[in-house]
Amino acid sequence: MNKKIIIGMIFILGVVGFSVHGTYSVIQSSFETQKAIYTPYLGIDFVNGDGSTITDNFLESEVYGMPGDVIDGGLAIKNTENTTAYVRVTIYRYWADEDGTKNTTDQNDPNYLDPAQIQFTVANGWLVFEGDEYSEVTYAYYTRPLDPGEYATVIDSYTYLDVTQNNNLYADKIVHLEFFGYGVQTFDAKDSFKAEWGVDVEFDADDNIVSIGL
Amino acid sequence: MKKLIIGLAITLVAFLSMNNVAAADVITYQGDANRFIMLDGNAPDFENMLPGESRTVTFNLVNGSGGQMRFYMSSEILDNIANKGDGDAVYTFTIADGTTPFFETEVGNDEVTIGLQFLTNDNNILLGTLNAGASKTINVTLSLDGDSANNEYQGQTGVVNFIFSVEQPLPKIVKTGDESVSPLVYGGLIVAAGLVLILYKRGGKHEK
Repeated sequence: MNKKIIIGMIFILGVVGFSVHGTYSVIQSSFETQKAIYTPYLGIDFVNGDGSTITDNFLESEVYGMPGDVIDGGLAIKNTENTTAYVRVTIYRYWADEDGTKNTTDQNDPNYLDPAQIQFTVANGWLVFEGDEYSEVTYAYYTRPLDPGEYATVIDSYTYLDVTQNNNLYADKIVHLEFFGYGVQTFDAKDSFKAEWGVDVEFDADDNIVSIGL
Repeated sequence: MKKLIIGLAITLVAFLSMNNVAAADVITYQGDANRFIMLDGNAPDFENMLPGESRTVTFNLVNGSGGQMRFYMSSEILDNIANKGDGDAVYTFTIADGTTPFFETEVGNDEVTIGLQFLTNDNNILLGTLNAGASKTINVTLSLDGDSANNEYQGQTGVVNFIFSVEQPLPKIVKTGDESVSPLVYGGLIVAAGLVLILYKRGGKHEK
């Protein structure tokens, strides 16, 4: 049999087969493109009052505080990454003995050293809350979201730490201060505040914090 | 002249598509050249996704061929961001026809394969059948779960590969009766093929 006839028959069988089966179609061409996924950083660091000298989001300070001493020096916090964030600064204060260990004299003891005697004033624009019954912990929430590169003064250069109580109890004691800064995302901010800090927050139309429920 | 007009028409469709859909990559299938071209409409990546946030990439598909074409897309997670951090993050992968979702799957880390098994280069998802010159907008949305993506997911990356393909459907022959006839037809075809082979061999013998 002629080969051409055989090939022709096979072709016809093929066409009939595909026709009976239904639609004959084939992928003709393809094209690829890629998209990246990435998540941003939140970065909060303390800086000097003028915005210079980035340090870290944790600062620890120990000074000898004599009654009436004024310890100068502003402190600010800066958004060092590319994501707008709400910021909270935790301020931890206590008296330490000469060797630097925390003085743990009981509140009912006449020699009790009151952390509240380490006084500071948080700058405008922050909502401030006492964090515990011993006046050791203070929480300060900056009421505006902090944009990338922006910094906000926590304790400005005109405010000071003032050891006011004229009491020899505090002689040779060390003022211990710790500052811890932390930021949360502005998206789903209510959930973020609740998840990270356990507080209920309310915002105004401009996304500024108007209240915080502890 | 006709080709010039068709070319201008395709360009016009692509141009209008880019202007109607903000930040969309316009992907045109050119029938004559049998290939795709992409006009980069600066469709952004899934970028700066915070926990709880969604990002959408828009593709505008254009059928620049002379006939009706089916458009498909398969997706591969080349670099799974859920594997990063502590490995607990989950995100949702959604494909929408305009604003109407028609495919959605949850993606976790590579050990949780439930979602990833649908995101492979051989799982072609039909996006639509487009007549010559027609276009269609497809939105792919990734939503990063806010509860599972914790601080460990800061500054992490991933990559999704999208593979677009087309096929040209031939008109279907209207079938009647029971579908179970099909195996019988195949059997007949096999018998017929056997007969052809026998005839071929016999023909060969005659030629000797």
